[in-house]
Amino acid sequence: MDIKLLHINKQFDNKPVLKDLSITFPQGRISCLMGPSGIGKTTLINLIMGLEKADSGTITGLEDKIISPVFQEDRLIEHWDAINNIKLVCSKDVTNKIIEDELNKVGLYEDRYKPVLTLSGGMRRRVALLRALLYDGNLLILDEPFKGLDKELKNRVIEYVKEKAKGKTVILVTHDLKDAELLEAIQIRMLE
Amino acid sequence: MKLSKESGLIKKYGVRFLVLFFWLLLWELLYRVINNEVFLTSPMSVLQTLGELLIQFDFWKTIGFSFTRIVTGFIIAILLGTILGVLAYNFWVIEELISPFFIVMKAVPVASFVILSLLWISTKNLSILISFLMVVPIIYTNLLQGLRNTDKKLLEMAKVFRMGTMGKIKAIYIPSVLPYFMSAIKVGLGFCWKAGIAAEVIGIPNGSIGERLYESKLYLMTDELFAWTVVIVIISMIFEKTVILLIDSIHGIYNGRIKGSGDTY
Repeated sequence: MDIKLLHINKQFDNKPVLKDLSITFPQGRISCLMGPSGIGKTTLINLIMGLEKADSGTITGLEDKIISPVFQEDRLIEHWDAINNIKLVCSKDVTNKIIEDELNKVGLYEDRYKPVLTLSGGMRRRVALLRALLYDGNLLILDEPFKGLDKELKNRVIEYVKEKAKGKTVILVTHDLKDAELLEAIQIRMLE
Repeated sequence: MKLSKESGLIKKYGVRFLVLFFWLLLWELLYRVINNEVFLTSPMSVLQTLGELLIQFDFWKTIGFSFTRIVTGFIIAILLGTILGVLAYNFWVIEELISPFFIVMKAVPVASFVILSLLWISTKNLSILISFLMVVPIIYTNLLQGLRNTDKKLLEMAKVFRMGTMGKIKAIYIPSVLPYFMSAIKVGLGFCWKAGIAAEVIGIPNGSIGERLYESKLYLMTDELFAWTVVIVIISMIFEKTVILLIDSIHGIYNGRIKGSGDTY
């Protein structure tokens, strides 16, 4: 089922952030949400995740969705290692072996037992991304998931996301047009 | 490097020894100036009295009496303070309901509590109640503050990932609350001993440290008064160090389990 946002309005402290916004995110496709900073991209995905409530308007198509998020911040358990951070949200079917294999694919195998607070920004981002991908929701909401990754690693991770996200509905927030192109995503631009 | 570490330790303990020696010397000098055993006894007399007390069965029985009661009050305060803190965090009505009680408890002097308590319970268990009453607001307040300062963003993460209650407690709440809880325990430890013994001095339960202190004062046995004071300080310090060591090791085990093994959660 497509996710449809109709005539959404949202304001903070009497300052409108989203004004009569209507967007459709097609089922099983990657949609890239782009636009300048402060336009309300994060507010929009917070509405979809149920972390904020719209002042008016409707959101449909979420009934059958299990959300796998990558937040703007990593939101990891700082003193825990990558494996335990991922296991924390995943089902018991996701074993240590599976997690280790996946960590290996994104270049984190060697650091799998280190507390995440000791990892670099790019490494932490990959842990957060892997956590969302292994959680196995059917709606991936990724808020700037490639932040802090160098070009080579970014391309590798994008390929990995593309593979993992097959058949799932993905809403990706990015500033980089190239990300959208590499992911063969539908580009949705939010304008002032 | 090793040498400098060792010399640092020698320096540290050397200074501490000198400081102790200075105060003992000052005490001895004051004793000689005052020259009255009733007003101020000498460090040597205190040491001698302490030595005599140590070999008496009654001495250990007295310590056992006060220790078990004060510690019982302390443990009940930790349990109840924790339960009330968690309830108040989850239900604002409970917080509203119990907050006047804690405000009153913080404002009322220990002596008033002791005298009031004497009307309600036997002197034998007075130190349990007083130690409990002194510690429970500290545990409750700190725990509630720790819970309130839990990272909201992590709680949002837990909500979106549909994490279970146990997962949230282990991963988010315990790490957030633990520093507040530990600090409450450290503060509470000192309070429960001071208040517990003060209660015993007022209530004079049979066979308690408080009774021995009171008798020492009554019969002008200043050396025994000092010796018992030293005993109270030593027990309080040992108890405090033991509890802190215990909490630190629990904290360490908790973090260690999660940090390095990868297969423990």
